[in-house]
Amino acid sequence: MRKGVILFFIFCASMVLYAQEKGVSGKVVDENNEPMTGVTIVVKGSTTGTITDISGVYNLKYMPNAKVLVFRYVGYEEQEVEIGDKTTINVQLQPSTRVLNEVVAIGYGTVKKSDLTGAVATLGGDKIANRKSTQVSQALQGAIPGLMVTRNNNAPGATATIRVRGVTTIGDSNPLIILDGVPVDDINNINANDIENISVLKDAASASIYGSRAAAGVILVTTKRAKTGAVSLTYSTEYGMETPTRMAEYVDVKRYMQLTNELRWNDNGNNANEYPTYPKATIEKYDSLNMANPNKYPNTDWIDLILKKNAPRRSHAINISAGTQTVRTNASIVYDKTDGLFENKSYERITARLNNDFTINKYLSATVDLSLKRSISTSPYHDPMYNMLIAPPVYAAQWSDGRVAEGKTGANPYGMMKYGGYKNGWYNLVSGKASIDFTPFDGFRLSAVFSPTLGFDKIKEFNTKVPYTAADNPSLVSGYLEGCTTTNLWEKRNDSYKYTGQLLANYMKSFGRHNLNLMAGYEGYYSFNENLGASREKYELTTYPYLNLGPLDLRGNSGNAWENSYRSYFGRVMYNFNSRYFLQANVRYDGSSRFDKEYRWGSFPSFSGAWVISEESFMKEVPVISFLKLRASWGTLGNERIGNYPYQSTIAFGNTLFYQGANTVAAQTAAQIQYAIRDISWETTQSTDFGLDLNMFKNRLRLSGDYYLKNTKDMLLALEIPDYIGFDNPDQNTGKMNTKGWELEVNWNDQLGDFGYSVSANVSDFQSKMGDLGGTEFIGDQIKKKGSEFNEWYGYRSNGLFQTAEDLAASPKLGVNQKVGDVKYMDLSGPDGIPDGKISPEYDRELLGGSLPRFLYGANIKLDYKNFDLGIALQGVGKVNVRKAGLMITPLAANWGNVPKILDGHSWSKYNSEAQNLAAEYPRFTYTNAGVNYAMSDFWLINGGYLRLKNITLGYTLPQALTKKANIQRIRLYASGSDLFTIDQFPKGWDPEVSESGYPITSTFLVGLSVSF
Amino acid sequence: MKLKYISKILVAGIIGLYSCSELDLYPLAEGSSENWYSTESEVEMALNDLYRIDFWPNYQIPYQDYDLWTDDMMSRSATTAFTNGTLNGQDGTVNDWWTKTYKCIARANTVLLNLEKGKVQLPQAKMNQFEGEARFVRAAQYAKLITYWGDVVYYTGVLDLEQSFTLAKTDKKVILKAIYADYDSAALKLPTTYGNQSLRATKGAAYAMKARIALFFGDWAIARDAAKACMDLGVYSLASDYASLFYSKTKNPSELIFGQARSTTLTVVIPDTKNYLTRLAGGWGASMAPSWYLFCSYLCTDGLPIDESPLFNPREPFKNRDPRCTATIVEFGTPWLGFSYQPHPDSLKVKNYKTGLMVTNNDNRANAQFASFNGLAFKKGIDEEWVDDYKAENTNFVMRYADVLLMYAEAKTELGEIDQTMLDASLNKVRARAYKVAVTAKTSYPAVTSTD
Repeated sequence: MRKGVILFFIFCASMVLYAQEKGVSGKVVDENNEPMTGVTIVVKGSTTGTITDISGVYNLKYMPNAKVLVFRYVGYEEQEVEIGDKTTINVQLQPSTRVLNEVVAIGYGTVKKSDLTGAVATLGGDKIANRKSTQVSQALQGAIPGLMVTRNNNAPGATATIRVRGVTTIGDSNPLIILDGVPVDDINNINANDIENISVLKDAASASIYGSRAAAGVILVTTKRAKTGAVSLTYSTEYGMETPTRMAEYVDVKRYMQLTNELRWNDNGNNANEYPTYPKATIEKYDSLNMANPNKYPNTDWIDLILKKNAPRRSHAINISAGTQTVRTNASIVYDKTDGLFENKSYERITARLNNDFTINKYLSATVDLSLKRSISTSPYHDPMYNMLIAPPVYAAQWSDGRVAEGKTGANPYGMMKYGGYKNGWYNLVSGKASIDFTPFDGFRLSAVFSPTLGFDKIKEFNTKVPYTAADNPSLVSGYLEGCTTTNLWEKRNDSYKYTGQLLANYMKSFGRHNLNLMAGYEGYYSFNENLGASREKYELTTYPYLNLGPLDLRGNSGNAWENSYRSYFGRVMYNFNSRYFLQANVRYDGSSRFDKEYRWGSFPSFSGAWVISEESFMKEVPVISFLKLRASWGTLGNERIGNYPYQSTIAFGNTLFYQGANTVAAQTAAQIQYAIRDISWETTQSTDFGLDLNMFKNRLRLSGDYYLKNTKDMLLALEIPDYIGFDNPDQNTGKMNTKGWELEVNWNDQLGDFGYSVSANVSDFQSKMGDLGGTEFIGDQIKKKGSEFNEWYGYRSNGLFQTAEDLAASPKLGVNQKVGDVKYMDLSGPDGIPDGKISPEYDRELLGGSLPRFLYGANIKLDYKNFDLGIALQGVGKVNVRKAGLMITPLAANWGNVPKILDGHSWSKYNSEAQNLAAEYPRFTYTNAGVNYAMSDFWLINGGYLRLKNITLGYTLPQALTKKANIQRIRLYASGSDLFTIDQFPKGWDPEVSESGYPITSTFLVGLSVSF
Repeated sequence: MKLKYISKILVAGIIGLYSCSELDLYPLAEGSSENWYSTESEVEMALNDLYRIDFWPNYQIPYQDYDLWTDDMMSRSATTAFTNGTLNGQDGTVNDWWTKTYKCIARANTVLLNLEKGKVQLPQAKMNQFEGEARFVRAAQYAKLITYWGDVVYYTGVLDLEQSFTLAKTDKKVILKAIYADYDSAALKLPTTYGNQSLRATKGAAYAMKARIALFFGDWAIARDAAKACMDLGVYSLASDYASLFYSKTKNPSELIFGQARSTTLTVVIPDTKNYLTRLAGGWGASMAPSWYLFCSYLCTDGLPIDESPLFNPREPFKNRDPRCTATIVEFGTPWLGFSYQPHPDSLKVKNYKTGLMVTNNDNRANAQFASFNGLAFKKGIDEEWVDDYKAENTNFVMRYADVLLMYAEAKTELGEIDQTMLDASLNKVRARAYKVAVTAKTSYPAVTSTD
């Protein structure tokens, strides 16, 4: 918008030219009378201009028709001076208050950014929308320091996981999302186009106003509202293509057969038969065999058959905004659709939002907001990804006449995807918010808010039977594809409603240089959910996905319901002296239905302070520093997201079957499943934060840094209890963990004549360590135990591969089947605390390093030149221990899969020379000893750090000379690319973010058009 | 005036907002354990839970993968921790049995405790039956524990968390005594039959299960008496046909003493039936196959093992064998689920009995890489119901009458009390049934006549 205004001026200038006899010169100084270098001076209504030199002096040549000069400098108020008949114009520019007066949303209110005492990060809505991802969570990746956003696929509609300042609990670490003051379940239900800005409350001081629910951080989303006197209509549309960033590659058909033989031969003890599965002749003549009989000798390229080259996506958005003194309305409707890379996969979404503000009289004002979201996702019943990746070319997807083929005895991912049915979901969300603000006297405001959210989901899963026929006999059904033996329908209906009510009182008053801001409030929240499911099985027909068409005797149904509620009282005191010394205290008193009456209430206080050093008189002498503030905060937060009735011993229902004579009948059963601990209560996190905000060079450079400590105690864990007690493990308050971290953000923006640019970068890091967990270890490839990191890798230490029989014989082994070419493990210890000559899981595994990403960073670059604008966003992870695993490195996965191409030529082999084997990256091919070779060890860990070009967007705004004629304010065209490339050390074909057999990470290319009236 | 009016609305609003978030919430779709066990149907529902199939894994081929732990069965894709000798407490099956068994015990104990407390008023007969059922289940579950683990933690009543950490193992002999007592009490209190009502634990089941655990621990006299008591009830008889006894379509046979029903319509099924089926029948080529040990262990029709019997012909290994051999393992060249089963690699085509045409024989490894690896395929219990949707509803036999007869014979033999009459009443009865002849037709089957 701002850019639009500038461009508008430039445009006007070029249209109208005035004459002037003489040139103009002068000097520009700042508020301290220091000369200002690089101030832009343009003749109003033209693109002609100049800039000041190092001593603040400028010279402008004679220009006819020039009437007014405009002085511009980033961080300073723009000034216009009429030329008249002056030849010398000296100007003093005043610092812009906009940068510091920027208002930031905090819990139940707003505050000037310069007045913040806690750690709050903000992001403008345009930055989110510019990322061009359908889901808000994905757009936040790398955008805010301290926000860890991870994704593992880019399927249509896929979302990302958000963590604020790392992990603080073993349980649910999802941040609390507040939309326009009201808690919501999912940030992805909000359309990026509707967002005005996002605030992330990172430390306890800022988040503890949300007390009980804020331990994992709070994200406040504020939507756009109309302004008085503004009228506009904007239509935008985009069309784009998604294509996988990378695809794993597998060996061709002949290599597959050779390597299969090698693996089987290895597992047969390298006996005389080197062709145990595929005869030598078959392999050698496979091309001609395939030509002669492709049914018996197939050569299927599964990935090519299943994945499209690219998948289209499109969106349309209309936004209307109008405001008068009494009513202001902002309305938007957005439609997005993304197709998948394979058949039957898509995501479609419509969102609508209507934000209304009313001014009734001088005492009363009100807002009424309504929003609607409907998303439709479709997927094949059988996701093809896993089988597509592993399926070797020797199995047929289709017989030569196009009939669906057997694949590997029914495992035919192509046929299963295409004919096996679908899982479709329709998700609807309607929410509203009404608030009345009552201002009986100046400075005091009473607000009542009521916000209902209603959700209705419909899910239809239709699994159809897919018979396949014999290659040589189209009439002989020789079997059914895997998971497609009968046609079954499942219908699900989920229904939910959530009510939030708030009552807030706010009082602001200044007494001389003392400024006071008080807030007190009450909030009630209630949530109800009910699920309903129904099914029928063994449909005769595969074309009618409705329940009434199924057989009567195979009907199933299910139902479930749960609810929970909160009541909270909270208050805040904010005080500052002369905008120099700030103090803030918050407290929230929360009650949750998840705990017993006696243990239900918890209070969560926080305190914070800030000192704006730059306001001190001694700092006024340092012109280079525009703003300097130190912050410190301490507070506690709570968490209780562990199921809805954890303290109650409940009776669960089921069924058992009995014979009644020759009949079989079902009888209802009842049993207490879980041992209940009545006195469980809140899990609390204490958090301490030290921060610094520094603006320099007339606010052109802005720097902000924080260091924090978080300690969680009374963690709610399902602690292991003796099995013979006969109940499932109950939730208890036990366990401690702590997180330390820091974050840094730097911004620079400047304007050089027509060329405006800004660069921002952020980096953050955290490390979460487990404290005493009550003696419980969670073993797997990763571990959480006292002293370990959160989910630290846990396994053996490796020492390359066994290269010689002597080495093998002399070394400790894991199990009895280890052979030359297998991974060699190190004997770290034994039952007596010293190496025992055996590799055993009990004594020879140790911590191998954390699994969470370290040094997360992001950067944004924005360049404007005349009608062009360019934005670049980068994002990355400095370091992360990633395990090469599963499909990435396993030959013959599931004992029939293909061989990853990265293994061929890089694995230990009997056919290799000694030198080749010494250089081998991967162990020998084996299935019987796979468990030992692929056991968790540092052999498989790599640094998974990466740098990714998240987005690059080039825009062009049409000259208004053209658009004005059609009564159009602005037309902007742009082209954008997302996830275009990464720099990393991953094996070829694997994206650093993709999960093993998940939907690929995709690059997006799109073009867009935006028209404003 | 206006202000007052507005204030009133606000006050009304406050009350409205406050009442929308009641904090005393109780489960909507679950019951509360606080006041459960106070009506007959609540107790009955709690008891019903103890009959769920999860608590009664059985050990008979071919419906449970646990048979992989024996030498009767093999899987071509993997060996088991048991056969590898690497079994430990981390093993999934071990964990599963351990936790489920104690869950069942805790639930049985809870019922007994609540019956004792007198929370529910019941007619004496019902009271007896309920107590008998709970005791029966508890005894059977502890019997499972001492069979597989030896000394274990033993308790009656309900444990609290503090107490549970203080418990030590109890000697299995002591537990065995308690098991006998529970079975005795159950046998006393349980009805002999349920008529047309649901088949729950019976007097006979208590006797038979007691005989089993006694036999396992070598208490021959107790085993003998318990088995005899079960036989004397006169309510059980051997099914006339061995093969069909195990079929999916056979429901509640007279031979069943204790077990669980399965039903496709009620969604309690044997999943993964494809593991046992041949390729032409739509399965995965008997990836779970009978072992050659099992195949070889069936006697010949002269009552001798194959290495002693002159009747055994290695070229025709199915000929002259005990009928239970071909009832358990598919004989080569015979019709099997619509096709002729022939794993021999020279039979590239076999007959499809449904169409009468010859089709590619995918049951041999010449045509199909993943046909049965040892050539054998299971037949026992498998009928056409297995292949219509690859789900089966065979009865989960925990105890059959034939077992009681054999246990009786074994106990008597161990005690040196066996004689021909008793043999004919037990072991020979079972053997004659296999040959579908009367026990007296001793020339038609290899009757056991030796008593030493």
